[in-house]
Amino acid sequence: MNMNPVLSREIRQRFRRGRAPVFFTVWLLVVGAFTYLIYLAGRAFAQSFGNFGVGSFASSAALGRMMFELTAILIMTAVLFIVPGVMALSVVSERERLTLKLLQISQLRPWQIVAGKLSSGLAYVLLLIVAAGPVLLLPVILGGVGIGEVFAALGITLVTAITLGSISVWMSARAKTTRGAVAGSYVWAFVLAVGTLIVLVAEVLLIQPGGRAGGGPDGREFYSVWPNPYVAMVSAVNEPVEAQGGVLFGTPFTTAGELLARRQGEVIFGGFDVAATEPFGRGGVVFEEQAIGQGDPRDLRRGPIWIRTVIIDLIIIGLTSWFAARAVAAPEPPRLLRRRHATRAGPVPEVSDAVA
Amino acid sequence: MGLGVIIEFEGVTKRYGSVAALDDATLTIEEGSITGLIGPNGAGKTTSMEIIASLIGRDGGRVRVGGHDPRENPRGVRSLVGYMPDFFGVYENLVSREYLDFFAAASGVASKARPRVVADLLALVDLEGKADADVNGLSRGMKQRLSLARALVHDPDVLILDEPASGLDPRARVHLRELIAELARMNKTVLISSHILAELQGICSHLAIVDNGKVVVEGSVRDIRVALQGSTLVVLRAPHNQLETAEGLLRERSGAQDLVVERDHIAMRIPGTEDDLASVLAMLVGEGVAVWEWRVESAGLEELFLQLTGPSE
Repeated sequence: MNMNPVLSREIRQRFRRGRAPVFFTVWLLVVGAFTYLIYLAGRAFAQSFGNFGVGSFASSAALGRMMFELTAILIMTAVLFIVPGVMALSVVSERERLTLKLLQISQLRPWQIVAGKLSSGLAYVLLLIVAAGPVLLLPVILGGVGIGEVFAALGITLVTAITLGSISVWMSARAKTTRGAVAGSYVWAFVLAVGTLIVLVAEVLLIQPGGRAGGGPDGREFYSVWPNPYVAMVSAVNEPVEAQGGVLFGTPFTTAGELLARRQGEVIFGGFDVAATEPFGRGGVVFEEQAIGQGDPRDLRRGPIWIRTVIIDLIIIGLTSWFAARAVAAPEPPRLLRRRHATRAGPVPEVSDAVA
Repeated sequence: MGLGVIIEFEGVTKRYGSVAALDDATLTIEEGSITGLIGPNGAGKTTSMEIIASLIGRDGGRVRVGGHDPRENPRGVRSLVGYMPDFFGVYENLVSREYLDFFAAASGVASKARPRVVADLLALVDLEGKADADVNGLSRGMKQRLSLARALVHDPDVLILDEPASGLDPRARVHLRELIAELARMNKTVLISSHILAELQGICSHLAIVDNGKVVVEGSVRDIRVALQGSTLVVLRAPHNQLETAEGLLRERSGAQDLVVERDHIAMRIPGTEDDLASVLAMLVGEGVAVWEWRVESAGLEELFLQLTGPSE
């Protein structure tokens, strides 16, 4: 089976540039240094409290957990910044270099052009994620994190990269200028990562049923965060919620973990149970369960959010890829929505040939 | 030559907003011909070529390329057509060989055949020595030749060349003309546009003059001249003692007009087509006139173009 020519050429060009090795080196240095700084800060924090009580945070498991969660967030954030930057130029740069017509006139189908662009950009991003994988695995040595959790976090990061990549290629295919493509792609990244959280705040604070703004664990669904990559990552790592595991109070995932617990009809008590830290394990969190339904409240009443996120992402990938393929198709396909009336500037072109 | 019609372009319209780029344009291109598409900037040459090449759609009319409708079966058209736009699309960090290899792969050339195809094309356009040169570093003339090679990667029957000589120095223009002549010998149908009419003179067998979105006139170069002028200016040189005989034959049997007899030649206008000119010459020779020279004084393309489109506004 022949490799997609666009993918083949782009990989050759991208890795032939001197920038790629430099960027990879800087990337690994940043991720490694970041993780090491967390380790140093965690140790210093623990030593300032002694090795009891809160100081037990110093246990390697807790430290490992903190390193894992913060590094996973760093990688996800980097993906949110890097993918639009890398992929938003994919098609529009062909248009500006005047090579898009040469691709269109070839035997490549529009979806092959889009697939080549998407896969070449993702190959680059995938390398970044894979290269950071060993750094993310370091906390496993310290304990507190399972290998499965690392792969869950990386998996959601990869799905997010593909989703943002396909959005960016679509933006690139429909944009007339590089600036427009980049701006459009970053707007979408912002909407997914931050916009959904803003809507969540409004959802939680303003439209709680029964006027219970910020209220208790009523088991209601938080639809706004379904597309959110951070929440999906926490969900993939933590759900199903269990009393002695799943969320570690005081770590970055706690906030989202609390959200996840709420939608299952549970609430995090809001304290740090010292007793639960011996052995520390993955625990340290205390749930005060407020069952709102029948049966064991620890059973999931709702499926994990990450599955919903992945489904939404797959729909986004499908739709944006289809739109991108339409945007690079030549001759241009018929408009999906036709204007009903002619504008003042001139009549709508007639399609008399359709009946010829 | 003239094996049949390969491109039919009937009553085609194309609008950009309220501006009609093409307005009921009709053009027929014969297989194996070299057709020059002449017209001022904005006349609709590039739009016509892009519609034929299946790059853009049309708002009305009928187009067939080798029997395929570019809108309904663009891939069928693209398998027949090689298109060279009026710009050279550059990829960074690629050498000439890789550039052609990429487009050969994109055009469906099998991976095993590609090295041979690329080598042959580089030889055809005389860029063998630049096979490993960065395409960005090539001169404009070399880029045009590489672009022509790119258009040929899938061995198309029809070549569409949009302003191929634009921006080339005289040497590169001569080289390009030789290449196009070579393509004609390979029995390719060539549609070539230019607003430098001298570039097309001498290499085109057919002409289509486009103005304001319409094809004003089309046909063989000769027929267009005859249609416009009604007759062709011919100069006959022959021995002085035979000029009187020749004059008599021409007046009686050829329909020649405006005869001017000089010391060693006769200038005249002969009505009809190229075949009619050939018949007159054959008649003279058959009657024993020793024809030293039979020179057809053609009006230049620029003269024809101005005659058809009028002076610019």
